[in-house]
Amino acid sequence: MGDDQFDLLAGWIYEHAAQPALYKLGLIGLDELAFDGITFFLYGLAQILLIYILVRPLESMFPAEEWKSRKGTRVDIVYTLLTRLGLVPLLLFFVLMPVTSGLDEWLRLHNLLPRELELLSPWLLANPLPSFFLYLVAIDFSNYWRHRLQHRLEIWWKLHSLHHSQKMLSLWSDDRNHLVDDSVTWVWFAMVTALIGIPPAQFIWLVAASRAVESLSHANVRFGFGPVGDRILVSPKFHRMHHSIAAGKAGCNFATLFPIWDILFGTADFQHHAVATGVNPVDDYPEGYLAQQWVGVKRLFGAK
Amino acid sequence: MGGYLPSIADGLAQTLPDGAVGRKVHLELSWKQMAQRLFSARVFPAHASALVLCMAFVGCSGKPRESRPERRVEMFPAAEKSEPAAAPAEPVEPLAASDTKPDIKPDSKDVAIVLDSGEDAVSLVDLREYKEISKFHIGKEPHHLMATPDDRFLIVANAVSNNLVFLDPHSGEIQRRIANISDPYQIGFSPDRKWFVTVSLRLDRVDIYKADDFSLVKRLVVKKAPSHLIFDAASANVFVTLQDSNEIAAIRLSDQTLLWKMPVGKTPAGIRMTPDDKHLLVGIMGSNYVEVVDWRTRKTVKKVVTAEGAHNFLPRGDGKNVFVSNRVAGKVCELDENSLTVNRCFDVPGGPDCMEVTKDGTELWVTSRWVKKVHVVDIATGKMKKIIPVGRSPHGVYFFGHAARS
Repeated sequence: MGDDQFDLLAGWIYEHAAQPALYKLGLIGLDELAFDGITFFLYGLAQILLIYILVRPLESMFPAEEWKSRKGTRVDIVYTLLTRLGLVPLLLFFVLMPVTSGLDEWLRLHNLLPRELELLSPWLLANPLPSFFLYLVAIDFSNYWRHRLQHRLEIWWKLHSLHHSQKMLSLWSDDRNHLVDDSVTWVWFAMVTALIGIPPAQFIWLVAASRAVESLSHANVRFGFGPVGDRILVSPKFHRMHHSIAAGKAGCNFATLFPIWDILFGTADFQHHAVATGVNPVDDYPEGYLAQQWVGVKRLFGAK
Repeated sequence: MGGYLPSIADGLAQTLPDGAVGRKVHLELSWKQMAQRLFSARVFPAHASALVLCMAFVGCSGKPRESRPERRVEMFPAAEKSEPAAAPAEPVEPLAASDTKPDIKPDSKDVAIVLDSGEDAVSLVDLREYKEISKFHIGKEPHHLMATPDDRFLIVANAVSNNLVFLDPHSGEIQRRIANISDPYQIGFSPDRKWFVTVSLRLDRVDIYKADDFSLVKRLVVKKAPSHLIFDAASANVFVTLQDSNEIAAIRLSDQTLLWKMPVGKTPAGIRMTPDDKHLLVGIMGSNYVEVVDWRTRKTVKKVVTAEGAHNFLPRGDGKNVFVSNRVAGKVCELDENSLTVNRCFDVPGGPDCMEVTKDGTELWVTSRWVKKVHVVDIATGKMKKIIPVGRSPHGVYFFGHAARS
């Protein structure tokens, strides 16, 4: 199994490079976090490579949009590398840890312990695969509503429109988010965790499964999964409608993984017409990474 | 369904901003064109390079399959499927009142029980074949385990699941669960069997329970990062290392009061009381020594150099020596508790952590956190005897036929 190799490689890097460095810096108390961080980095790297190998050719063969140059996608590559290789999560962890940890501490101090979904049934308790799927569905459900709020709340949309401002929607676009938007998402996730628990052993696979689907759903490809498949899993066609300029802030097709939420709550659009992606000029963002982050901060404080 | 925004596509011509005009969408290509694109000079080399890198990662070109240790992992033993353990908060059977342990002897079916904090699982390892024979899900982040004082159960503390799981100490089969034990990272029973104490490293807390029914008596906020704990012989106090504030703390059990804190070396981890009840031994993980503390006078009396990352303790069982795992150096050292000197150190790579000694005193089993292994060391020679592949992050280890805890 590949994960054996990953873990052993992560262990080797940790033992021979990271651990001695932490020890010398007086930070050995962070050892388990660092070990997990290295594993996260390696999984992220492999994921980027795999997605590039599998999805990039599809963009060449079945493009939804014809581009003369892919220059406009470069900034999204920066977002992807920063996020999936762990730098953004690490930053968020240290900045937001007092908030999320404080919430957890307060709840537990008042004997409000997180429930665990697998306690619903002994069968789930003994079988990680169905419990993994249950968590995947529960988290996706919460993401659907978070995503709707990102569009509904004016102040959140000011940040989230950065994600939508990409006219050249590609396999790299999933992680194109403002850092403050990412932070709110992080806190949202912490709250969900407080409600349903989260299985640490499954966390990396929950993230991996979500990201694989999300990379494909943002890709510049014109296919869907068929009339049935499109209703089971979010396809590139389905998600492209969400990114259409006309959908904009009002939005449609908010689901991350499972379109069932859009179907149930009346926000699905399966028409799959050819659509151009992006936002209206008022919500547009500049091209560079730092410029985008800066404009997002200014908009938070009322700038146009 | 399907009509939430019926006008979007139809109305695109009216709604597209200037920048989108002229963008050619939904292009149709022939198969030939697709192939040309795929193998174009600009794209294909990048694909090929990424593929090679990826293969290296996932092990396609890794070590030959035949050199991998044989693993017959049965994820979920049949016994667990019908176990009553899934029902949380089952009534707790009181611990045996007697101070003497019942006459429970090791049997031929005994296994080594290894916690895997990274995979939320327990590995059962054949003590004679040195092989993982089964593996099952136990709960979220099981870090430490210990036998009940009467040795009838082995308790696994699932930190993130907020519960304790009682196992058969021989076979590892789940017997019952106790819910609502908040974030039990380390656990311990007082020698008089009155108190059960848990520390929450993540939440800066020490929780004190009645040992007979696991009801919470007191929840103390003790900053920062309480890590390991030990009791004095009279069960009057529990001592806790505070990993992030470089201290140890003493808590009086009778009224559950924090008595004092005192500074020790960087990142204190494991803590042990010497058999004469005089000194606390503290593993200083941020340095290379064991700090010896006279807990009555609250003074450090000695620093015994072991190796970098001094972490945890386990008595050899001869009433004289104790093993110290050193996570950074990758060594285990044997420390004489009478003279407070180091006899010897031997290599145990991969972040040695928790340990167990066989009843006959010949083997030391050590979990190595970073390399997915349990290392078995021949105690007489200090040489590696066996290497047992297990799950992602092996942590606590136990077998019933272990040496005396002294």
